[in-house]
Amino acid sequence: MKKTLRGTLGSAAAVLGLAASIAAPVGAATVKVDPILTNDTKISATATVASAGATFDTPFFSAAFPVYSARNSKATVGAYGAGGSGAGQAAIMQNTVNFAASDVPMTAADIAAKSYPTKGTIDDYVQVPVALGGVAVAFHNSEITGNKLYKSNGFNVTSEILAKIYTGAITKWNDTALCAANPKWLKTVNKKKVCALPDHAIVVNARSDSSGTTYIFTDYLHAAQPTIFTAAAAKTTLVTSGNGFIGGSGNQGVAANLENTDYSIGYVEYSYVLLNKTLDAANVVNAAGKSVAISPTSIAAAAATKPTISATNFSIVNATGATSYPISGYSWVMLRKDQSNSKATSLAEAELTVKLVDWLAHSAPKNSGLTFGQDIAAAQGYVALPTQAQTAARNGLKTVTYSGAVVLK
Amino acid sequence: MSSQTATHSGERGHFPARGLRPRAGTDRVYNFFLRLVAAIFAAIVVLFVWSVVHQSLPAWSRYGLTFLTGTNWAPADEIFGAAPLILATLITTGVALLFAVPVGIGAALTLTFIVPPRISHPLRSIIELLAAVPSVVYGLWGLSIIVPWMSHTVQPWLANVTDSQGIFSGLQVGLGLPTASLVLGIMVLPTVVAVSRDVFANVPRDQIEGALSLGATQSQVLRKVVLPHARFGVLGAVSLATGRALGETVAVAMVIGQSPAMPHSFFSLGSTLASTIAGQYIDSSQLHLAALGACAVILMVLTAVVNFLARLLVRRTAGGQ
Amino acid sequence: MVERRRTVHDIASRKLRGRKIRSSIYIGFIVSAIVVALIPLGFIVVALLVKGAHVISATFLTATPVQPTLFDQDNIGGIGNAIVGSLVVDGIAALMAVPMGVVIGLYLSERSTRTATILRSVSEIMTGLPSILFGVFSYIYIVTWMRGYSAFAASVALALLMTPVISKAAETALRDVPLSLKEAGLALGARQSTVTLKVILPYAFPGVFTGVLLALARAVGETAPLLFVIGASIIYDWNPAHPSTAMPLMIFNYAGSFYESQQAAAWGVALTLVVIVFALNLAARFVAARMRREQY
Repeated sequence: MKKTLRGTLGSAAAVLGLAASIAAPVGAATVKVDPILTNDTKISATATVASAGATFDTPFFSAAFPVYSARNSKATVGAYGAGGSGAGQAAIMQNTVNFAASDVPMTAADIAAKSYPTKGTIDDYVQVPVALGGVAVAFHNSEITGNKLYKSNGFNVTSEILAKIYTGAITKWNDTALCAANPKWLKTVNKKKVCALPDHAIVVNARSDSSGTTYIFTDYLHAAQPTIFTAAAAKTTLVTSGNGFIGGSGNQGVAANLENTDYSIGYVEYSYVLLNKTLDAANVVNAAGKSVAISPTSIAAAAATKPTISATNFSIVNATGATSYPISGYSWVMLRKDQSNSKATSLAEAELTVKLVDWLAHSAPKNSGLTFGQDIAAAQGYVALPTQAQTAARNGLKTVTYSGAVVLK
Repeated sequence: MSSQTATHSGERGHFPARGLRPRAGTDRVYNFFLRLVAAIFAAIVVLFVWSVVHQSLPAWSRYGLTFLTGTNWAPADEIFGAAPLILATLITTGVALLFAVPVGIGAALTLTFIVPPRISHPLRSIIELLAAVPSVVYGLWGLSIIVPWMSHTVQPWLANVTDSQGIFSGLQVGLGLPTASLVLGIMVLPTVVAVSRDVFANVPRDQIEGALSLGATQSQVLRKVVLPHARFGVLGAVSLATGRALGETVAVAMVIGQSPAMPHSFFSLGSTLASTIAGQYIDSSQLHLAALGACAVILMVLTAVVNFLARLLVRRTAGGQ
Repeated sequence: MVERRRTVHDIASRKLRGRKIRSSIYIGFIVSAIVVALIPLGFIVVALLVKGAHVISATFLTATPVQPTLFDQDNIGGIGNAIVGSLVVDGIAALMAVPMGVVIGLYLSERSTRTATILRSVSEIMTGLPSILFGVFSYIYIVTWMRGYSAFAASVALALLMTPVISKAAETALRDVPLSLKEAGLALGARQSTVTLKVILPYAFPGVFTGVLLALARAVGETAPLLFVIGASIIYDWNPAHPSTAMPLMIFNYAGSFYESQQAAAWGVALTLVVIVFALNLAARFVAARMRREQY
């Protein structure tokens, strides 16, 4: 499994050459670079921006901000305040950050729930996609992964299996549903079909904190199995007193718990299974009935099934299409439409905000030798936004104004 | 803890300066200033208590006392029963003390009465320094060393020996109540040693020597003279350790599994009051925050009572001398 | 002790051999306790040295953190910004807590009114409260008021933790100032404030200073009160109004990281932090010991 995942990423690595590209824009003459992005760092005066929000974006932003800052001596990009989506939404409503990130776009109801005098209405915000990612069904079961059946067939789960595991209806690895999804494990003993999967309880892992990863995961379970997983998508922890799940703080917490615990299953952001030697990602049977491994390609395929996304219609879980990985989702950046009424106190600050987000949401043209935000995202285990999503981000950002004038020209 | 050691171990109070008020009122500005700062501090304390209580009010009004007795903590369904958290807090603290108290008192007795000063003095210093090691370091140690040891060695062995019967049934994940208790026990151990050593050092020499000269063995002296004389002080040390264990947050959060289950087996995962606040406070809904505030109130009351008792006991011993 | 034991044994008749054996067993148990106590504590120290020492380098202590990528997993940068963050957070906390703590110590040492007794009890109970509660307090007031995470919010939480520790140490030190000194000052016609500033505080300074060092040693290692008030930062930032980070928080975050390089770095941060905490403690002991020598 892992080899193929790594292989897919390998090509992305070759394109990158991260460090080199910052210093020398090689061969830019032969490649046509997006005119706006060519000027991405041209701002009228020195400025500083601040941002906060979802922890989902932390690895991406932590790697991208220093690269952007290095391109422009006028720009200071302050550290990303990773306090969670809710904290990011509160910060942008209070104008304490230039932009905020959230796994789920802000809704009119989110704004109505708050009492900040500066909060405005949903129309006062522009929300653009900034990252695309997948949630891996990670498992640690040395008995399965040590078997040669696994090497040739992988391990499959269905939405029904996952929904039942996360509602407590399936508790053992050799449950008939699991064997049905992995028919090679059905052995005939004394003319009877016997499930050869480990006769061992499943140790269920989930996030103990509020999490966008949980949102995407529950969004999927509810969309695919509304009768089994009845609760609507939410970021709130699935760990309760009754179910005995192991709670992990952050994706890294869940990954570490999985690593320490044999016979365990959990869900983590895609990049967390890439590195981990003891964790494997299960293939998930998608809406078309095909078993699909998580990979940049399959996540991109899911995203491609819904080219037009918006802040009110954004869910790409349980996507149709034979090659779509069904547990995928976007992360969003929100900023003020009228930058005169924002944290920005100068045109330069507004310019920096918009241009930085634009840069974050774009990939560098092939062979340009440049590194843009989405290239860095790919190096962190996210998937580069599809072209249409990049365009959607650009179109959204073009509506941002400062003192009545459009900022991104 | 070491603050107490440092300030108490000197011959204290040989100037009976308590209540000195020379020519009060001769310096109005000075007195006003003192009172003002004291009042500011008092106001901050009141504000502090009020803020936590105020945040918790929606939870109390919605759940009432069932918040304390409810056995289900399910934030996604807005069901908040803190019994599993309270139980996990009490169990980890209790088990930690079962380890730390006998070992700590034994070590303190050894340091005070048995080994010669050239050994006991450096040992004492080391143990007092260890009391100052930040709890996150104990947590790091627990997570990267104790947790794998528990899941790979201790728990399989226990399950094997007991045939996974009774309280030894369940998953062996390394994390959980026993691991948290062990880490807590090791963490509070230096506190118990340091404070009870100070108490033992204050047992009057003449009583010990008297008993020895009457033919008592060393163990009789310790049991019949030292321990009875120091009992309140030792109880005080235990209460201080209890307070610390009840409220320990990060070290516990790192090794307990952050799973608010009702404890059912020796391998149970758990989540204490403090570790739940630490894990869930950020990015929570209003009612969820209120429930966490209510946990904070319970924690505040528990630790305040324990600490109050501790101070009372320590003072009583000091007063008895 | 050794001589005394011999005396006992001389006095004890041979008939009492059984008693002596029982005594030895009992003593054996007690002595074994210190061995049991030292084993895990020794393990921690060894683990810190073995796992932490090789991580630490000049770059590690001065560079800012780098987010490892899938293709460069070992490049994690350093912890310079966390050291600066700790410095800012703890420094500002001390700026708030030291004057407050010392003045309250003065108040408590000079008065024996009911108010003083209550204040003393409250302050003592405060020292035993779980530190995460101060984080909750700071979140409710400071984070909400400043509309965001900041080093200052963390300082407030830590100041609340430090003040009672300092006031306790200050009170003890101030009480130990000889009555004759105070009276001599007052008899010369000095105002109370003058006597306090020129006589009492200088005399008690080493004791107060010890208390401050110990309070700092405790604050610098605290993680829980920072968890939801300090935010996150990956750059050098001296501005207390900005989000920041601190060494204990970095240990907490790195400990659970899936990058092995960051897990290893957690031990490096831990060792650095423990060295700082020990240095503060040893400095406090040194001051206390000197004070004792000078006074007696």
